[in-house]
Amino acid sequence: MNTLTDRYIAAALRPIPERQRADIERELRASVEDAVEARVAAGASTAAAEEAAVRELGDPERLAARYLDRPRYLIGPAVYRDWARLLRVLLTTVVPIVAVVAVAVRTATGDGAGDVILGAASTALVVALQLCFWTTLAFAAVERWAPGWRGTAAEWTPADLPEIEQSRVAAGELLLWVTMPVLGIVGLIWQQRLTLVLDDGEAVPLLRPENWSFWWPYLMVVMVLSVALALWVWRVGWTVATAGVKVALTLAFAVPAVWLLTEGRAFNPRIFDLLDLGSADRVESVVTTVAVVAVMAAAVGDVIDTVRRAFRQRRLPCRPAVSPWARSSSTPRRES
Amino acid sequence: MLATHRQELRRGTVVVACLTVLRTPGYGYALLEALDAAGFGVEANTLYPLLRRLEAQGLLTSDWNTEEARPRKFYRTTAHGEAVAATLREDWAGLNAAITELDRGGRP
Repeated sequence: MNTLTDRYIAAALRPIPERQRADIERELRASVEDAVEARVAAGASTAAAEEAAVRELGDPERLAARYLDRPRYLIGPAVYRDWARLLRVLLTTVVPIVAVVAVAVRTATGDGAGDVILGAASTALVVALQLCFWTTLAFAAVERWAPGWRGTAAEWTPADLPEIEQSRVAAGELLLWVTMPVLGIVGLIWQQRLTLVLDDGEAVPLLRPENWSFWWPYLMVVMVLSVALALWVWRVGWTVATAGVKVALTLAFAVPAVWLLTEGRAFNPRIFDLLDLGSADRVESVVTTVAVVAVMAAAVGDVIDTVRRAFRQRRLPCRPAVSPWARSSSTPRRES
Repeated sequence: MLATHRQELRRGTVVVACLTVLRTPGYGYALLEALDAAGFGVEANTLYPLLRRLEAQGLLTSDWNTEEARPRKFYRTTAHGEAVAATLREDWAGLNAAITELDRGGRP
């Protein structure tokens, strides 16, 4: 039967290559026996001494790793930042594009809303996992076989410092932000009353009129809230709270819109017959796909931009928030 | 947290301690006891691989002593190792003086 010492040494030697094994074994065995001898001389029993000596040496795999001087991590500090940055850039650019393309493809082939969303989500997830895996694998390989490479860490200069972004919303951006929903509301009402398409002199709405019972008013409410949010952000600046609300509103608009489009409940079916551009189904499919892609791309781009802005704000050093509506009556004017 | 800082301090000095003690040839366990008695709480699983690493760097040489019943690997500091140890000891003395000075300077 193998003694504790034998088992420990066997376990410690297993990861060690053949070349070094004999020498390390001799030395380790001698060291353990010396330790046991010393403890027995101090009055312990042989069994207790052996156990204490082995316990002191610790996990045999860790000991072997120290003998081999192998790095005990996958991605070390020198390349970590580059890995994290690359992964972040890949995930925030490639995955949304893939999701939008997947939605477009499934919509064009005429799947229902549930299939479209599930399919796009699963495709996006698979792509994200693949990106994570291959990036990590590449950097782990660099860590092990190109240890001198320090990536971009060695090349930083003060010229690389980014400008501090204003937390206030610029006037032009605010104008755009307010105008779009207003145009949207006006557009919704206008397409119902007067349109480009006439059928025997009667106006034919572009969007399905049945949805006036709920969906079109709902979208109008979302757009009004969006205007209110714009004013709030202009007053308060970008914070995590305002960013969260913006993301929620974007999703509150985009998700039902995409759902209505893929379910074929957004457009007025008579339109496609009247437009006479070819097979009504094909025209509807193409228009729906384009609309879905547009809505999704805009929503995804908006969410990413908002999130990025909110996180950049969080990292800024604290500056006193100055409300654009505050009077500077407290600061004395300098008399010239 | 304090334990981490103390470990950091000790980790920086175990190499110069080994190189200095091994001017007289010594083997693994005896060295461990000597360092322990001198106040260096080095662990066995750190010391044994460290001796090999120092040998690979040319600061120590090793010899198998087969005279006794139990063959033991004796390490000894090389000339290069001695030069490195001398430099490290100088650095150590300098740091010691600097810290003493800082400490004195801190008192009114």
